[in-house]
Amino acid sequence: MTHPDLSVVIPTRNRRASLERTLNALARQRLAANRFEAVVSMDGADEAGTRYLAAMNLPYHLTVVGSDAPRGAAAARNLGAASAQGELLLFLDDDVEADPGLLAEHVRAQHDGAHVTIGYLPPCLESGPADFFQRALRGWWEAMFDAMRLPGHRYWFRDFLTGNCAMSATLFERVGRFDEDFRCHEDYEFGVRVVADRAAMRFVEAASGIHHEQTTVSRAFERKREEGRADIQMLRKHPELVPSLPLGIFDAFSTRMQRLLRRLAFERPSAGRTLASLLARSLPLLESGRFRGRWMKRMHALLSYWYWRGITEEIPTLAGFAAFLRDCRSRSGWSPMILEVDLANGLELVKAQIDRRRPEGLRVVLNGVAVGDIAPVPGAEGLTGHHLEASLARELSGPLVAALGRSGAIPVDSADGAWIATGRVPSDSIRF
Amino acid sequence: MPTAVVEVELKHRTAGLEVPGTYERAFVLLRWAGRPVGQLLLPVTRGRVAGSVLEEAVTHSVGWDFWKTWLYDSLGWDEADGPTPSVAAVRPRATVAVCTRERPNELARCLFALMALPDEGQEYLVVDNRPSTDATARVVASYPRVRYVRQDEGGLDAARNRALREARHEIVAFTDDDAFVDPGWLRGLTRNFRDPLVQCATGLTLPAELETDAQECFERYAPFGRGYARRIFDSAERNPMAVGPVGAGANMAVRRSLLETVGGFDEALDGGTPTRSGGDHEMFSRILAAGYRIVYDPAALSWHKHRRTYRELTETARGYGTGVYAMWTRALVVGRELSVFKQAFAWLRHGQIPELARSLVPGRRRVPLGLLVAEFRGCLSGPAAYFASRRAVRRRTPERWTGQGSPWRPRQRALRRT
Repeated sequence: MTHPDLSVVIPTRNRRASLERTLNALARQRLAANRFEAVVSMDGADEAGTRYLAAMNLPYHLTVVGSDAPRGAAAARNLGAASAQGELLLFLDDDVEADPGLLAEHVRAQHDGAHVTIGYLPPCLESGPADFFQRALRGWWEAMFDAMRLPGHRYWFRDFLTGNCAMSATLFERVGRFDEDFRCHEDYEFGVRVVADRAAMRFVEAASGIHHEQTTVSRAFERKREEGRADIQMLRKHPELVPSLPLGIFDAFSTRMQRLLRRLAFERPSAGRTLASLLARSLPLLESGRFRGRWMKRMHALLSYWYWRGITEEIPTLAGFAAFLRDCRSRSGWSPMILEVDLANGLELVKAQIDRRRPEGLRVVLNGVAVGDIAPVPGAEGLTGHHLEASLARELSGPLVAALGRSGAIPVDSADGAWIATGRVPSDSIRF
Repeated sequence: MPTAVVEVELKHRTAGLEVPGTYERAFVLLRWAGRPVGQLLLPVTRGRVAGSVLEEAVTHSVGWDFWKTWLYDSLGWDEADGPTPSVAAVRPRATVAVCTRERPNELARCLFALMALPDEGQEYLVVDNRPSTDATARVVASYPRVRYVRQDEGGLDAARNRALREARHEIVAFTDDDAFVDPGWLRGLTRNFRDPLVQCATGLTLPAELETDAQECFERYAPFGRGYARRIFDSAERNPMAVGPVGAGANMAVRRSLLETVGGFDEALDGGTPTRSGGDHEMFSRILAAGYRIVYDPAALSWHKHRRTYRELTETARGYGTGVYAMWTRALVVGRELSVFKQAFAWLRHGQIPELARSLVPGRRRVPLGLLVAEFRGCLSGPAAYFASRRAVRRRTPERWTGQGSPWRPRQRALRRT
């Protein structure tokens, strides 16, 4: 058989019905069945499962590989990728039911020049009442895709989702495959290396599949705990990421309850567990009274608590944690390049300048008058002219108009947050 | 005092403003590159607003809405799409629906304006709600591009649901029969549906004319417009019961799939039922409560002809009060939203009572006392009106009430679990 163009790598563990649905969805793809293969990588031996898969009647070639003992999703994906024959690798989770265009859209986007394509996974809330948690879950997933959907989005490591993504096999090897020590957030860790490699990530909304989310409230707490542990692991490997992780910005953005729960998690674990358990039990009451705001705050506080519980499993004391952060900062060799650009030179010229240099941060001025900055973000891709444009329209729109006013280009004064015209309002737009 | 309604395009503007007719005052809509950015009330002398008067007024009134629009025009950036023309500017196709009842003259004006919309593959639908003559059918017959559908039972919300069922395209845009749309209206609505969580978009509605005192009074009492800034309403940041700022059903678009995701309009509410109004706000509230988003976009502009007489205005005020309380009753009884009590109290304390106090002082009166009293009486009859209306709907469509929950609240079944 000639090499397929694309290999779909599906790591799986004990989810036969879900896996069957995924494989059947691949049988309905627009992309011709002789152009791709599927590689199911079983995490842990499953004789019955393997035989069952072999008996399935599928129009495309199916390979089944597996390890004897469960070693985690990262190892399963690496094993699958190693057995894949295709030039292009597409990682798909076993709870994703692909839409008929999914494979074709990834292929098309890859041909268009994207190095890593990330597909869309609208969560399908399982049958049953759409309660507060289900809606919150949908909101969190959609928020992630929302950000990527915005024109001029600056991709970073946390955009990389392995549930539905594609890249060339060569890129996968060059970046260095998944790190099998990570049981959680192995995709984010891989994303850090993708960004470092300067590979271009792109969100492809048309490459969509239904994500059959099975998370429950308690599973979400468990997952948060794993994430806490994984983030410490991540910092041991990439110490410069502190400002890009929740634990790094906690002090600035936490509520009183969250800080209390964190202190209890470190200093009085049993009291913390009791309080968390009481708060969790109060959630259904808040829900039946329809107290949405309070429910959401309490849910966030609990998720934060479990995140910090995970951290305490790696670093048991608050003092130890502070020392760890200091150590990360000193070990971090990251020195971001900040480029200063003057919009008076013309927007097209400035954009070309940025596209050439791809700085980590930007200082924007207008005829010497400061407009604003695009701060460097560890783990985020280098900036392009398109990012600047988007920023000027969004975060920097106010400062830009204020700077135009200060430099005399337009008659506006923005003191005290009120936009007061100081002269005849312009009758034409300006060319940047 | 009759007030002219005129527009000024600020980009490449000429000096002064011509005001046809014999008005002494003008309501001026300001636009930049076609997009509404603000409004002014200016004196008119001999059919003209002098250039200096206009300039001075514009200078003093423009704020961030203007500067942001001006900046986006300079950058070549579209608020909803990104850089224009956008890479993925595939806009969903829309069905434009007008629900109407025995207002052939207004409907003709409405359809005339709709025909001026640029062609983006939309279809047109008129739902004739419980007609007693064939006047509407005859008006629609003279517009070959418009499809006619007759809805013999129920009120405005039943007509809206019928429009959702009859629509062939993904988005259904509603306009009132006594309103006429701006050429940029449809695009202003449909461009907001790229985000899959957005289930509804509303637009800016301004008065088509301000000839009578009653019309000016309506514009002060309950204007349809919600300002000149585009806003996204999300239940994560807003109590779903507080939907006043979201917009009005006279100018809105929803996804046709609303019928499945959130349920249709509640046929016990709005015009043609004892509750008189509130069907649109109840839908906004339900969309937010289900975790979806609504976008208010002033670029979707339409002009509404308010009722001309004071008597009609008083009836409208009473209907408004009834509708709001009926909607809250529905939210409480069906949605178990306990916060309606807080909403009702807040409206009374921060809205109705101060307005009542102002109307008693001759110098500070904004809205006549009679209107407020009518609104208050409407509020008191709201809950009873809702139950009466609901009974009437049940009698009308018994096959839909199987004890499994009504078809317009599929998700509410969950509330019955123990």
